Amino acid sequence: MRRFFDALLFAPASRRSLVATRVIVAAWTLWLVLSRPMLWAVAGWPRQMYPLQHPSFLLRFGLLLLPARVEHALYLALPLLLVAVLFGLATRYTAVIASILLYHFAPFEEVFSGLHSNGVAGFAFPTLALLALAFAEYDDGNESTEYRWPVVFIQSLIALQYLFGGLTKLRFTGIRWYRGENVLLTMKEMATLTDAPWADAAASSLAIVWAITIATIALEFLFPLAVVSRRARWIIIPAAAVAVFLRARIYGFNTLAAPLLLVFVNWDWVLDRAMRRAQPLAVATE
Amino acid sequence: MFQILRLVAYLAVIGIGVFIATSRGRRRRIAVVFLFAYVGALHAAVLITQKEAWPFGSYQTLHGIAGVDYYIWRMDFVGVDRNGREWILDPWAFDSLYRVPLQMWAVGYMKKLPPHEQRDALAYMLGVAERSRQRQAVGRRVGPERWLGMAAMPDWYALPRVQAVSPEPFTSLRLYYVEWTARKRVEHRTLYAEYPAR
Repeated sequence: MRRFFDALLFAPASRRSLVATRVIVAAWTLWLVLSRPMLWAVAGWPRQMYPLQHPSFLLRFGLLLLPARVEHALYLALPLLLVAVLFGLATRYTAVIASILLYHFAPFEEVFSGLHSNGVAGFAFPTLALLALAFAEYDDGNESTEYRWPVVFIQSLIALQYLFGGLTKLRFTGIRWYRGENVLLTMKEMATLTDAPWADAAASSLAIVWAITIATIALEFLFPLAVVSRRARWIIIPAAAVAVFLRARIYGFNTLAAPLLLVFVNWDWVLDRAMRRAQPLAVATE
Repeated sequence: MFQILRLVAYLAVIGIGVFIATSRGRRRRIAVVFLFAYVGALHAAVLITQKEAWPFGSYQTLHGIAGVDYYIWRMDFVGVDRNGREWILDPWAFDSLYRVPLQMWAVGYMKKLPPHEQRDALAYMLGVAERSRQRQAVGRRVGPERWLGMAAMPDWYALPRVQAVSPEPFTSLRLYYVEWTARKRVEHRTLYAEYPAR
């Protein structure tokens, strides 16, 4: 067991693999924040819409403590902090402050209805991922045993989204959820609820429905293998990318974390090849 | 009390991180393994207890049993112009908030408020909807697209967008409760709330 964790978390890794992960996470979080430009304005909505009967809930997230103008300033600080994280500027501080601000702002998305759904899940990932990036070591040479664990931590957070999506179905409904009939009826429901253009077409064939059901089980429960096995990654990550597309077309659910699948890419291999290709070009230019 | 414990659960990740950053050798490695175990355990606890402990989540979507005869519902937020014409509002018409949490609030919480507070909330929403209409009427964007346009990250729940924008100001806001079944797909629409009341 100890050998397994040593190999998984503390195997020598390159600095650039860690930096690539930091860039992907920071850029994705920046995209999220810039895509919710008015989130801070929820602070100006009528107080009675907030769950005032639960003051400890409000206190936990620091809600209704600051005027909307201050909330606006703090929200504008978030992109600046994330740009600093992206470029590795005082990451230990900027990433922690960005995480705390995300923790504060995320509930605004659903505060009036009590964090009822996955709406805030988009913010959950960076709130935790930024902390791993904050406490990672970046100055231990080009290769170090220190560079691997933050990458694995972030990959694990993504894997948890798939694994727990499956476990939640078992927890709430049991294995019955994965019957083709239930998936078919779910597609028919979603066709009427969301912008899911292929829901009816997919539900028209039980064979397609069963194929999607089996693929769903496989992806949800086998995704963690992508964290521990490079070979599994070659199958699971492309499959997850296809699933992102199908999920949107069949259920009308956007997988916001889709670009984060890039953290499973072997950036050493990609950058080495890119540099090898660039070198003859440079020689030819000289 | 439990809310504060949930805050502590998040702050503990920062605490473990500080310990990792200030430790060396074996202690550091143990702290890293503990961080993984801690985050995994909290996610598992959320799954088992079904208690919210954000940012540790259970990532629940589509986890129930579906049925073609189950009633499904939505709330239509409708702006009414001075000619009395109704305009169904885009899911992002309230700019900072998506339609899904707002309809959950309307069904789960709004009617529990005293009438004057309900009126205040609806009046505020009408004001926000009108400001969004003004922006959209002159070709400016609202919601996630405000800054990034088409490149913006959408909401995870892809509701159909509404392109039509009223050229006239909204004078009132209506909330219609709409329900149907997947089998019949016939919508039953009832007026749920209105501001100002007729």
